[in-house]
Amino acid sequence: MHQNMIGKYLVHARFIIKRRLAFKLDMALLFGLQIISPIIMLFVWSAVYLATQTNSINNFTLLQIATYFFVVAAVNSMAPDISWGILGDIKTGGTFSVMTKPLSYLKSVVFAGSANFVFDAMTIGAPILILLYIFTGTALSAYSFALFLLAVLIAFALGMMFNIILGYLAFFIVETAGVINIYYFTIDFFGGWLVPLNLFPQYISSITSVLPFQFLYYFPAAIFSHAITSAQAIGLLSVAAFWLVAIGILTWGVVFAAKRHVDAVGV
Amino acid sequence: MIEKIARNLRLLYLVQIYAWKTQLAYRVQALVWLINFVAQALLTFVFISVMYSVSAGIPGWSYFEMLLLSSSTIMMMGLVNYFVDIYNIGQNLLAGDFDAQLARPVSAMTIMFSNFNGVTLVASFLTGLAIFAYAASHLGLTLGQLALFALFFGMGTFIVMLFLIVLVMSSYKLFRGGAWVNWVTNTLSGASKYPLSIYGTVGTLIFTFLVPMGFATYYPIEAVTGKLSTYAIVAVFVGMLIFIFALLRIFSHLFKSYSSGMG
Repeated sequence: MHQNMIGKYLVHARFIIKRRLAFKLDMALLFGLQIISPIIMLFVWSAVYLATQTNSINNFTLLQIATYFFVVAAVNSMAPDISWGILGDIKTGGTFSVMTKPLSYLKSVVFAGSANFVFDAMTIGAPILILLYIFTGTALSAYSFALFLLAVLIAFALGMMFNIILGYLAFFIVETAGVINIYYFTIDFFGGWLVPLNLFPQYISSITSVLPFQFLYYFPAAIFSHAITSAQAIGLLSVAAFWLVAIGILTWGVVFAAKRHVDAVGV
Repeated sequence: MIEKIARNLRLLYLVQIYAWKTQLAYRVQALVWLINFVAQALLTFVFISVMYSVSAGIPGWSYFEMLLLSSSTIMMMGLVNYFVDIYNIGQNLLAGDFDAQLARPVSAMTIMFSNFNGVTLVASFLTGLAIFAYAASHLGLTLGQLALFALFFGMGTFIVMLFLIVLVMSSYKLFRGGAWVNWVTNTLSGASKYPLSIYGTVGTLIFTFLVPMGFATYYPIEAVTGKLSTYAIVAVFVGMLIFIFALLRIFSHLFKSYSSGMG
């Protein structure tokens, strides 16, 4: 019975992967686009280290900072991006058409997001990390690698919940495209996509260290680039657990409130 | 001739008015987009500030010179994305929507520049301009230097616009698709926020001739900060003229081959 309930969503997920496999040029293009940003950063920081004539800036060597940006690109490639789809469905009444089938809309978008995560991890994330290993020799112990994988899963779970909240906001304010873009700005800044968070001045990094956004990019990239020790990573896991629960409750609250707004022709 | 120019300018003006009125009908949404574009533009300012606070920065480039360069990229991309809506142009090519627009007594280029909808992108340009003004005041740029920058920046931005239009038209003609042009352009624009010299000779050549963003940002800033000799400034100017002429010819050729829907 339980297997059957999940099976129908797995069929949907399998279809998404098959569909994406059909667009091979898109796959190559997405990989290329993801790898351009860290390559630019590699050039920029190489010049910076050359000018500064030092091996370490704020405890980051050039190899570490390059590794950091490549891992950020890998994690970014796997980040959930379902808020736009939810927004479109809500505006056009697509949520209702799913409900006419024996499906839960929320579960279907979560499974779709998970399918994309698995696909992107295999076609972009893992290849970037393998290339990183080949070119830099950066390796992790089994323990650190397990912590890294856990960090990636936390990033995915938090990203998924943020996406659900942003998408479902359309039930209340209809047009959330601008808000979604502000979210991306926020995680770029506070999540460590722009620069490693410990390069920020103290007053900014003290703020970022208590926010959930650090777990989206900085946490996995810092583990992989050895910017934080395993002991520090374990300490941060308790902060991550708190945010997972808090944002989980918020997500549930938003979804619960949104269900009262569903109608057949969109909001 | 004057009447023809006036007609083209009038259409562009009317399109602007209509687009702004449409956008301002949804004031909160417009405000959110404006905030979004300002914030996105400020990310570069923050990045360069952090970089120069923890290191000596990029060799040969002071903090304010780097701000000039990165802000000119923000301004350039703001203008390019404002006037050249690659998605819209692509959809119009596929659906044959240029048919109705061709009935207007205006030039093909005016038609291209009037196919846009992201008017709030002006916030991106204005934020870049504010950062540019801040850096220029600290560097003490003279009016002559600013005029030279404006000339080179204007010509360079026009080259990038033409280049994108030609690229998207070629892509739709050859592959019946061109969404990748937008993605690649926005990603590569990140590279032009930094001195091309850091990418080596090959990188400099790529961002000058293959993806000509250097004309709009790198060379104008090099010219006004005294990094280019007079001879080099003249060479860049002539190079830009040749590029504009060549791109206009290619555009004209491509537009003539437009044959309505799916053409």
